[in-house]
Amino acid sequence: MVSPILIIALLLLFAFLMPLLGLLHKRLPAFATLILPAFNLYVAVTHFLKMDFIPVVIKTGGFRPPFGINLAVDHFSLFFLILVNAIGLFIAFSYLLEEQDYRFHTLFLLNLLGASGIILTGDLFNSFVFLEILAISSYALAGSRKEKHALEGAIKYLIIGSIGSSFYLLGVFILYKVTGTLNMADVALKLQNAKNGIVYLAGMFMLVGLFVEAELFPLNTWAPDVYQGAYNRIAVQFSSLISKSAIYLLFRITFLIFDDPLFYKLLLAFGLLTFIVAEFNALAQKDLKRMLGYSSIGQMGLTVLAFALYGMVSHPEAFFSAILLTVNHAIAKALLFANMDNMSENATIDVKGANPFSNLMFAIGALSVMGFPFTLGFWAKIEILGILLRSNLLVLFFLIILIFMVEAFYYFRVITNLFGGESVCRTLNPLLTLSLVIFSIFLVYQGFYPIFTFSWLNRALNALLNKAIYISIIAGGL
Amino acid sequence: MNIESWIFYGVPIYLIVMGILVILTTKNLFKMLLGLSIMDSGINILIVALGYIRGATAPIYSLYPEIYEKVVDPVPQALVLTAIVIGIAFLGLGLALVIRIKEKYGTVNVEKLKELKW
Repeated sequence: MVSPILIIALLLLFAFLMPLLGLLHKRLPAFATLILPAFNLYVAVTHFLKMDFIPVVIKTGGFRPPFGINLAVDHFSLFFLILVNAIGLFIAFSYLLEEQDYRFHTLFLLNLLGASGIILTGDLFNSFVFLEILAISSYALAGSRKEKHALEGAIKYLIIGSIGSSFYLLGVFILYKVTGTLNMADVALKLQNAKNGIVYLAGMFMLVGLFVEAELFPLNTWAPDVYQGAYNRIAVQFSSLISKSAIYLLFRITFLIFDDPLFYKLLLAFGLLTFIVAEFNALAQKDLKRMLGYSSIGQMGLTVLAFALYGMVSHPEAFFSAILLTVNHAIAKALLFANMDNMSENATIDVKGANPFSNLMFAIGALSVMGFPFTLGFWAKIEILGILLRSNLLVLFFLIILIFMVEAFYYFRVITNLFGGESVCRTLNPLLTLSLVIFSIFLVYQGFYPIFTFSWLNRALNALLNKAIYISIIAGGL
Repeated sequence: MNIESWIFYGVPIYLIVMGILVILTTKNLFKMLLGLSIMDSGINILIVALGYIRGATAPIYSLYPEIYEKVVDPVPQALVLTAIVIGIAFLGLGLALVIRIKEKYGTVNVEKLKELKW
């Protein structure tokens, strides 16, 4: 098996080789961008299939884990690594023939590096560094289009994002001051029975940083502008890659370090608020991309809500539905945002679609986000409702049903408009269409027969839940 | 808490609060970035202060063990270096964006950017 550390090394190497490759041939950067996510995907999948249920520690610099920086790889992180790199491959493949500028590819690879690094690392300060690599490259990507909305979204994102990451750093150092270590597992070990006010303060500070990247209320005011202003491929990246890696870190540190009912209640409140505010905002939008952006924020809120339900019901099914929602949203939103390329620029919600084929794929993506039966999203949403019913949280149950109906309403409004009128026949980008077809087939096939997703997801879930093994292998296994 | 720790923790916290106040009150994007920079410095100083031990020397390797018997915690200092570099990267990027906004709108005043809703 190829060591996962090569993922980080090669992404970094190629990100800075891009200007050189661009000099050699103007199409070379695009192909290099295609190869790297594919390589990462290969590494992640082979590890996922061959690894035992104990996490693998990769030492860097020859220090044993509590010291130095280490990568901690288990099935949970590999699952997210596969997801993130599959989205990266999707973007690189779909737009292989379009973008010529090497600077764009440098930023894309740095972004993927940040996302993969956040997922792989087992060190708190290291996670801050990767979070910053992710954030800085995404500020640049958000502002890469010289268009008013994009620039405004980018500067807003930059200001909120850097406040957030400064607070994340502060939180990390408060944890360091309390425990004397930066290794995630070691911090978890030392805080197991000794949580106090200062640890919660550190947790809140770290959440501020993660809330910005994960687009959670109230730190998500930048997100709609960025979604509306940026290129479609960057919108895909924001909804399916950047926010997903932030949500991984949120899951990981919450469950590993701040595993406490109070913390879950806080997350539950913010997840619910995000979900409600974003979905009602989406209802009021006229611009289609802005509407999809608000829907993305809403889905992130729902994901965090599902995750935080664990604190109320103490049942791992909450984590199951949260991870399933993440997967479903990543794939479905990639489908929707990439499909915007087939529609007119600045499409409103009464857009007439490009042609019946692309309309169909938009519909599949939208149905899966809504959680319509026979799509992957259905299984995620039915799981959440099931948990709420079984644990008698009826107010929350009906509230969420109501919001699901709001969501269904605004998506159906767009779908009926798409299929209602005469569509303008545009020539479709062949590579983009191919990858869109693969994703929509995946969503529908997994909707009918979700065994594949479920079995992989269960392995990831087992790895997350076996906290004791994770801690003892990494922190105690000297 | 003695007077020393009040200074060590008070000054950076003052800087952080001032930075946030600047960001919240100013209408000028350039000044907003300055506020961010002040807040960043505050956080960096706070982190170094967290690792300080009274009467200890700098954590530099020496042949005389009695010198480094008591050194300050080197980890915060090493990591603050990284944080400073990251801070410069975002400041540079932010200034580039402000220049672009100035080119596009002819102003860096937040209120005059039509679509900017905070």
